[in-house]
Amino acid sequence: MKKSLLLIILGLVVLIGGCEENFNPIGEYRKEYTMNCLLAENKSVQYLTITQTYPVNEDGSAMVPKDNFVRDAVIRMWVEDSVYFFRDTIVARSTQVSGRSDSISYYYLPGFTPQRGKSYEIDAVFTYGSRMNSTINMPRGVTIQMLPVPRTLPVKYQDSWSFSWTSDEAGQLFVPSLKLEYYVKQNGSWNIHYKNMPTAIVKSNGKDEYVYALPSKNGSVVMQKAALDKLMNDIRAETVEAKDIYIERVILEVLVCDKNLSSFYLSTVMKADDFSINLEALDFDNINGGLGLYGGYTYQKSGFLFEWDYLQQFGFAYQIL
Amino acid sequence: MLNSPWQVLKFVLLLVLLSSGVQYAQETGNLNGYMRDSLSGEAIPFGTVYIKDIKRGNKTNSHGFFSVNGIPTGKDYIITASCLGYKTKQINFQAEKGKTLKLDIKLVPTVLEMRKIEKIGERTVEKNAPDLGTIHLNVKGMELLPKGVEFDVLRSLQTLPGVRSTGDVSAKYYVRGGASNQNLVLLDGVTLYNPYHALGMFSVIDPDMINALDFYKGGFPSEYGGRLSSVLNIVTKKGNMNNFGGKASAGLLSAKVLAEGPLPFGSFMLTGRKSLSTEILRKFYDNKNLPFDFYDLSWKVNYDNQYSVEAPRLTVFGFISADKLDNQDAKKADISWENNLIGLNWNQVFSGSFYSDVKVSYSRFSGKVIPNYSTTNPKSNTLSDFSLRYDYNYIFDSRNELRVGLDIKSIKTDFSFLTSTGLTSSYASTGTNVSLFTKLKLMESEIFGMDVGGRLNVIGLTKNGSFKFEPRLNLTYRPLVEVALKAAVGMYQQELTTLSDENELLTIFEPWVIHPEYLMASRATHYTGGATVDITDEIEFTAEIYLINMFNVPTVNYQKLYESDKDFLDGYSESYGVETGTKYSTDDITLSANYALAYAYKVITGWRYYPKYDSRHTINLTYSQELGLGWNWSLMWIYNTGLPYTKMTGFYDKLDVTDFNFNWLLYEAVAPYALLGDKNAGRLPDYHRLDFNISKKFDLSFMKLTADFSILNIYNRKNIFYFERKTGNKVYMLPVLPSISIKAEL
Repeated sequence: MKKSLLLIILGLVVLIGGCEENFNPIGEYRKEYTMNCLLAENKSVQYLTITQTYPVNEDGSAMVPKDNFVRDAVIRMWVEDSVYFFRDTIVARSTQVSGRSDSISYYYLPGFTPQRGKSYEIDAVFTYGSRMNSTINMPRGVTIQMLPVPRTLPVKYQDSWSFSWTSDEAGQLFVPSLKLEYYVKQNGSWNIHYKNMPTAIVKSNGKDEYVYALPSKNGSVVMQKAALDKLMNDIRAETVEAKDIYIERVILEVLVCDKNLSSFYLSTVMKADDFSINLEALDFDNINGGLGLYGGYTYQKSGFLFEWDYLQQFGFAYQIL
Repeated sequence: MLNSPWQVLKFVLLLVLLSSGVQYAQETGNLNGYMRDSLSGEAIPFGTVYIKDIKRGNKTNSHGFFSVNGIPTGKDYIITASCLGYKTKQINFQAEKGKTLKLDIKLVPTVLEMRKIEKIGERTVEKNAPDLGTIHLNVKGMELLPKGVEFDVLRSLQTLPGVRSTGDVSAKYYVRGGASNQNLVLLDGVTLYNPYHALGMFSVIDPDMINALDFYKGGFPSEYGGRLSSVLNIVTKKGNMNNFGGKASAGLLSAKVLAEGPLPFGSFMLTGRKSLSTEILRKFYDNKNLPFDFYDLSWKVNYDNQYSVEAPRLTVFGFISADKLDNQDAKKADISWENNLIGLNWNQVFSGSFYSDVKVSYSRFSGKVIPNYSTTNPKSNTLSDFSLRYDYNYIFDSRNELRVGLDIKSIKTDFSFLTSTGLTSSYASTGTNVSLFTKLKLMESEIFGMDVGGRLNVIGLTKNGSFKFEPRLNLTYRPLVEVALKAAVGMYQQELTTLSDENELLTIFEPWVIHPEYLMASRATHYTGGATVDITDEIEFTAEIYLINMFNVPTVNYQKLYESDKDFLDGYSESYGVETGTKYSTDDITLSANYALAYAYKVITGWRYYPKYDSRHTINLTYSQELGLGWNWSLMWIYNTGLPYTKMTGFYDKLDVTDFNFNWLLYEAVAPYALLGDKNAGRLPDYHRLDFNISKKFDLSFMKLTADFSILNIYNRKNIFYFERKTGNKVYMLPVLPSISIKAEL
């Protein structure tokens, strides 16, 4: 009797307990507006978007609207005593996104390049009266150098060397990129090519893989000679004759982000680790009266040449003939 | 004038010292000694000695020491010694006027648990013990606690009323609304700063090395300090004093060995445990790969003369635990953390009823995250703790006890990390805490017991913590033989905290820092009341009610955007609730039913919210039965109402900067990102699961074998761990999980 009772209770528990309860992760919808704008020194047209927030589906996914762009807002930007007005337009999406319209509305400011060290205030007024605004200070830029001092690659007797830059401001994110500029003789003519340059070779899942410079607050990128050697061998392997390749230079490009873009990037991309679970990570925004990001970055580049002795060992051309 | 609590306490102590000694010294004799396992010579903690004729007795402490004083002379007595898992023993003795009889009691272990006999003795000697919110367990008692994949002491605590977790993925525990960093974990009296392996899924403490544990859910006495919420003191085994022996076992998670044996006038013990497979970890973590490799190693060497109660007892012990994440991939971060601990303990029973304990110890925790070529933020934390403790206990003939002690802790912390917005933060701090503690345990009355004392922080770890007094009071009143009414109140101080994100459900390790200067020392006040009713010899009912206020509780500043912003904000927290427990136990059956109603909230910068471990109702039902011939089986059902979470109120178009490059088009680079409502205002569905365990002991001629089979979450309840906002997926906790382990003992 006792055993039967126990079995019945167990059966009931299994029947009832095994079921999954309904769970609703959705709170009351919050209607707000988002403004995103990044002033870019390497572009002559500046872009800005304003969109409306959208609700949550019953399953917790986003109820992505076909078109949530906010049009007809008056967008002004002040710099010192001047004021600039953004225009609005529509373009076709470069890649289709499921559930979204084929075109995108955005605001733009043509023929405008932000200047280093200046303050830019932006203000958006909607047709029905609400407004959003924010202010940024463009970075003052950096001074680029190579350590040790000779600006030619590779540095003799060294396994690694660094490209570095200095800034008189603190708390900025730098986005560095190294590119190799070289020429390949094809059908009798020399064509220019660019290739992203790795900074190191590492073991990843048992295989040798390149790693590239990552955005960081560090004012330098360290390059291993082994990575350069492997890249040169890879380029050499791409062409039948080594003498049909002419290596021109390494170009270091550095984007210097303002404090807002720096904080936004680091809070979005950087993580504590691959395992911790954080359900409410900091969501950075700096728009008064709404959500989104208003930031800016400067762009600088510098070139570095190669030692001929080094290129010669791969059989590359001494000059373009 | 008596114008401070400290002066009042000193006055009371003086009065008691004068009165107690004079009254009893000349007409009575005393009895003290150690209770040991007859086979191994291991001390038996929390056993009972009882002299029926005078209705007087005592319990052994965590070292197996007992003392019964004030025994009238001129008569033969029988002392009854008993403990769960041992044959009860009766010894004849006669008290001598003004003298202390030394007795080394050896109990024979049994297969039959003899719970009823032990219970009666326990009730009689403990009738006025001021022990509200306290749980003492020895090895045999721990065997009755629920097991999981492997028995884990910290996970087992979660089944006690008032102790919560954030799900079966983590062994971290939260006591009566307090945070996990407010729990003090001691290994042989030495602080263990990070007692977790593998993201907090398991404790570092191998259960095979435990001899006893004391767990204080609140209102803990004055010998403990430095934390606001709870105290867990784990006492490890000393090793077999009579024969060499060993144990080896393997389960799905780890393999372990234990070696022990006698030394001239002493013993040694060595245990080691090593992770075997990460496959089982997948079950705990949404089937994701967790390539954690971990081990722990513990050793102890004792000088313990069994033939002399008054000989000094010296113990040197050490403990190492380490976790390492081996990615084999330079594009991923390397993570490691470890605990190192070493201590020397000298305890001595002097003539009469003096008992002293001196401890010198060093405990170190270090953890680091090395990003390599990944987008992981670097992190590095070390904590070193050098401690000296002198603890002195005197038991009066009147059964009153006086305890005084000195605690010196020199702590150094060093922590550097990047905040979520890439700001560099660094804390390097050194502090020394000098505390004096005293308590008077009034046990003279048959129906009333009181533990009154205090802890004075003469020098705090920070200047804000100096000259702060922490009064403690614990009372028991037994108006009827079957009913005990209890109350406790106390103040507590903490000046160490972890800089961990409370929004993280799982954390690799919690980095410790001494409070920065701009923070006041955290203070807590515990008010607790309760009752114990022995309904029959087999049925016991307990109820407790509590209110805990915590002030200046540091919380990580999640909104830190600029270097000038502080890393911590001051907060306030409050928790209150009711806990009840009913236990029915016979020689072969134990049935317990626990219920807790709990409320907890925090207030940070004016915002009030529920912490992630706040659950309103909790029920634990446990049934265990010995079937004879070495068979045991048990069932445990756990239920609690949903934990808090933050609801989504919509999505917005957030810039996606993961492919931030030079030709990036701002108007196309967006992705939906969840907007959150009020913090922790929503509730997850209720949690419940049923676990089953059956074990069989085989007594072979050359070894003992124990085979253990468990099924966790028998009915495969889909308990939600969290809701993945990016994907809209629900992530569940443990599915139905069968496991098996085999232990061999030579």
